[in-house]
Amino acid sequence: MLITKKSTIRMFSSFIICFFLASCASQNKRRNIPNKQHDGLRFESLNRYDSNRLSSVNKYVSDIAKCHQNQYTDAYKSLKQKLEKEKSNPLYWNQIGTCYLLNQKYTQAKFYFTLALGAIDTSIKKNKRSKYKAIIMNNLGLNYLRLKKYNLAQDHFQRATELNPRFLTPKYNKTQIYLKFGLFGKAETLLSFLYKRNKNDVDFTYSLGHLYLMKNQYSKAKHYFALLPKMYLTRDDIATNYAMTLFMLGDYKGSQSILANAEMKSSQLKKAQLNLIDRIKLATNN
Amino acid sequence: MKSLINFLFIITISINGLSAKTPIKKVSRWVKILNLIEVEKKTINLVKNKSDRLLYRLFELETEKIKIFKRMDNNLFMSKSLKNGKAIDKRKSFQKTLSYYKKAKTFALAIIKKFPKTRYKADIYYSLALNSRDYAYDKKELYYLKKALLNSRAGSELRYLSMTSLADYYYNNKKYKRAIKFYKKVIINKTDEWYTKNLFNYGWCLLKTHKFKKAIATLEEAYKLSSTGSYIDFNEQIMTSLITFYVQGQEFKRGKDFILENTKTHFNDLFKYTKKVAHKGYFSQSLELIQLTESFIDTKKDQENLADLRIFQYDFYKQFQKTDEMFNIANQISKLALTKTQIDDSTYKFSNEVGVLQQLIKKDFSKHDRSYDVNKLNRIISYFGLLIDIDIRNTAKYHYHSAETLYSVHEFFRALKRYKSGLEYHLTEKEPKIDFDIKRKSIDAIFSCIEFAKLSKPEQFSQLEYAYLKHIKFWPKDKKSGEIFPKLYSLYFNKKLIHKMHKTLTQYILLFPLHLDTQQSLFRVQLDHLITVKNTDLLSSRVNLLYTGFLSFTVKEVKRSEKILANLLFKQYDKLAKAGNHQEAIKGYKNIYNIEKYPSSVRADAAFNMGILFTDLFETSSVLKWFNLSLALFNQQEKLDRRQIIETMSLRSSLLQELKNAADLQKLVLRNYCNKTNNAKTKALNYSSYKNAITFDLANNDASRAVKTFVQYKSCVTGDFNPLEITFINHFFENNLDGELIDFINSQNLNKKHKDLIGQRIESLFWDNYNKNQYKERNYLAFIKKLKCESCIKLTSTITAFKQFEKEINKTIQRKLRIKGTFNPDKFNKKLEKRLSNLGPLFSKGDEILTKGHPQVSVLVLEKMALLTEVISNEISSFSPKTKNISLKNQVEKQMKILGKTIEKERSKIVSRANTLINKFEVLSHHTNNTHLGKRVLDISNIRMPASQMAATIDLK
Repeated sequence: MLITKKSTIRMFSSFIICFFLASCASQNKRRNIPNKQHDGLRFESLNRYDSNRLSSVNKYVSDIAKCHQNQYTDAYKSLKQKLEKEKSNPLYWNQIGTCYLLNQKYTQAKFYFTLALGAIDTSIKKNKRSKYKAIIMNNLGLNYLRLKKYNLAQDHFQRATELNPRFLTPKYNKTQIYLKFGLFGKAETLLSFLYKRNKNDVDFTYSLGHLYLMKNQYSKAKHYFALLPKMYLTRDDIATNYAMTLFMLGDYKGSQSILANAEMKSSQLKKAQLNLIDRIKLATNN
Repeated sequence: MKSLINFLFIITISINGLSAKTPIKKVSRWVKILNLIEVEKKTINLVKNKSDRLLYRLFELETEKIKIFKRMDNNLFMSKSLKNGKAIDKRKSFQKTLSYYKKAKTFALAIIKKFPKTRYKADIYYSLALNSRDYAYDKKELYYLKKALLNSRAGSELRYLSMTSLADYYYNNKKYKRAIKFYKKVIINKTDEWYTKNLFNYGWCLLKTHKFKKAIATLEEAYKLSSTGSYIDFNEQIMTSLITFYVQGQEFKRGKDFILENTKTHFNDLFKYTKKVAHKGYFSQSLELIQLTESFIDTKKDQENLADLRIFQYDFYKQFQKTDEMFNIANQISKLALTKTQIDDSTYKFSNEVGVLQQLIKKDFSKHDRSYDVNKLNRIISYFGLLIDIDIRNTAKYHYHSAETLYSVHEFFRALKRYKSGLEYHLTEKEPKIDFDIKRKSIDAIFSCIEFAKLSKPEQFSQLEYAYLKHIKFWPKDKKSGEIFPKLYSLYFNKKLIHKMHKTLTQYILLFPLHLDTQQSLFRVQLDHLITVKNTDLLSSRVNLLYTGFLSFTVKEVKRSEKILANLLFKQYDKLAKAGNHQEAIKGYKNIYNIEKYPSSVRADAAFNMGILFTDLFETSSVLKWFNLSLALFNQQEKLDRRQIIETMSLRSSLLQELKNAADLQKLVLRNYCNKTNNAKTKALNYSSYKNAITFDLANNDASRAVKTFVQYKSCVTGDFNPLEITFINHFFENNLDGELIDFINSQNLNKKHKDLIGQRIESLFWDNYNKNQYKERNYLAFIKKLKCESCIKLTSTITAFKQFEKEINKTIQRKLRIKGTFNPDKFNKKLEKRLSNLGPLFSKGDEILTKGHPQVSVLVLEKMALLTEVISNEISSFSPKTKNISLKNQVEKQMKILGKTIEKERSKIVSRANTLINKFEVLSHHTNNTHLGKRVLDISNIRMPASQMAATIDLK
């Protein structure tokens, strides 16, 4: 078969599209926590609710729960129908903004978060405004985070934390930026705080494990990974980090064992797991 | 001489004959006669010694002349009298006649004086008597007649003529006994064709002297002789007189028998006889004669005579005050075919009778208890009925008068009907001119009747409508019509007869243009009613009418009506819409829009409402379509009034997550309201739409549309563009639309205006692309250099220094320890010392850059320092001299490892510095590698989920 220049371009375009779709899909992967005890943010965020938990949420958040389950059309429709009743409620606009955020429609998300901020100033008592604004700031921060505008995201999480220090989510979100950009000191302080607030939270514990792995404190890292309930050890990020920690500690078997049961949802982590397997093979052959 | 006289005689006769046959051209004929007389006189006067005969002839000619002049004077007298209409002095008028009379008399008496014994003496006296009788009235007639009789020969014709004239003279002067004396002598002569006349006069003289039977017998004889043909026919006069004679002599039967036996025209004579009998008050005889007379009428063929008889009967009964019989006869008369005279006669008689009855009933009517003689009233009305039958041309008048009678006795409703009948007849038929204004009087009376008659409501409506319409028809511009129009309008309004109301109003407007206020009020009443009954069809037609300038209503008022119409039309659909049945509501509005008879603005409102409903159905294209259609129909002010609604719908769309629709609606506003003529206030308003359109398009992630709007409508907007420009800059930046950001900055020439913000954003992009995309990295840096913002200057200066530093680092890294040949410790030490001695100045340069305080560049510097120390540390730690001297080799390797560790410690310090810096300033740099704490792990693989996936929303509060 003759491959022409045109067909080459077409193939390349198809590849680009596939890649784009794959990367989008990766962004949509949820890190579900089936057991509410393991969810330290359960009173603030539906982000890590699994489908069972989402299906049992109260009616006030049923629409946003749909968005978390990718049922955007239904959610939008339902939210539109509530406009007359809820239009002065900033949390209504927050739900719409969040739904667009989850649906990766960031310009729309920002627009409705901005409306939510406006609604706070007109409908919420002064003494409660900070709490509401903190919510919107966190979500705006997340919107920027998704757009990879880390500084803007960081600013918004910071403002959210300042507006309502009791919220765990913006603190947690901040730690994720710190971890990404190697601000481990900052991350450690915040994660320690969060861990103290909920030692059962999977991601608090996992993040601490990752933090110590990055800081080359492998035993400490192993300690935290080991604290995680078994059911989460198959999660690709946790498994990869835990296996890496064991590898660094020279526990190749343990590392292999973890990787053997690891999920491979993320292509990036799949690649990391394969690399690690190669390393283990290399090390064990030596 | 004798022949001459004969000749003259013949001429005179022929002249006389001519005059009798040709009454036309009298004057010229008289002149001719006079000429002939003069000719004859001249001829006679040629004779010097005239005989008594010639003189007598001249007297005759003079007498002829008198006759002619009498006629001429009489003609003149008559014409003057007719012309002036005043009494003319008769004596003056007949001066000529008298003058010639005197001349002739003098001439005649002179003949007698000259010839006392002339044979013409009696003739002369007779002529003088006749001249005195006919031309002078000087009472000489009797004297001359006596002279003529005295001088006439016994048995002569002149004696007979003189006696006859004397009898006639006494008869005429009521000297009946002397007349009888002479007539007795005269009637002996039965040869005179005038015998019948003489008998007639004689009979009258006998009657006057109460000799009835002889008088009747004389006239009966005269009548019979008149019929023979031997005498002058005086039958008619004789019969007339005979009738009188029979009545005066109470010879009723004789008269009846004579007529039946001797007359040919029984009916006529009997009728005359009957009349006379009746006239004299003989009731029973009259009744008998009436019957007899009627028996000679063929009732089928001779209607005229029958009518005459009936008319007479009517009078007869009236004479005897037999009112029922009168009415009975009147009724019979009305059924007959009457001649004009008979009609006039009957009409006159009946009218008189009715007039009398009217007077009586009026006089007798008691206003207190409203009582009257019903029979009398009925009789009057019946008479008017008969009058109408007879004299149909005057029907209107009779109706009117009968109505007047009814009104006079307060029979208002019956009167009303009669007035109307009269009026209607007057209008539909050609009738003779009535001597009063029947229209005006009838209408006034009708109004009065309606007022007093206690009519039922429907009846009152019908009568008032009739009266009002007639008044308007007869006197459209009359002042009273101006007052009637509103009343008629109210009348129709009470019955809710809209079309009639409107017709009345239209006519009122046409005739009374100055009554505008009243007309407006009336029209408002109509509008209010149409609104109350929700008659949208008519209401819309009225509103359309108002648009034509009808009654000069103000625009505000027209609009108010139109709004009400729209509300009525839209009410049910508004209800449907409110109930959530948008589709049905839209269907309804669409119907209204499609009906072209509705006012434009109503149709526009329907389209507009559809636009609103489609907004809630999220059908963007339909929203725009219907708003566009509606705006095309609205006028300028209406358009302006709707602007805020469209803007509100746009905001609503945005709240309903229909951002494209929201933006489109704002652009619809701009398209329709944004133009070069906008004033400052409008431009300020436009800014709001402009800003919203851009905001919504950006929110909908459609930056290109937003930019287009930004450029397209900039000229009709007044406001602060800075926030919008910043919005654009941030939007492009936040959404990673790097190319669009640069294009926008360049196209809008924003470099100077927003250099700090742009500097920050481009620097961020610079770092995003640093060491990843050299092309972009260079371009962004060049862009930043041009901006010359504070941070830009800092970046460009530090990055330039860093690039130099990076080059030197790289060079140093490349200058590895290379020992050629056999290991020479001195040579090696020198090389090692040289290599390590480079680090100090190089790191000093790095420190120098760090002092500039640019976090990102500082991280890069430390990265490079860490890299260099790592490379050198590894290089030294892994150094193994090429020597066969194992001890030396081990010793060198040991020393190198110690040195390597020392350098490694330096590296760790650098890493630590970097992490301190990063943590302290929270530097989010993508370029930490050598300084990253987890480098060992990351060298194996990237083992973490992206932060964006790890982070969480807050959505449970």
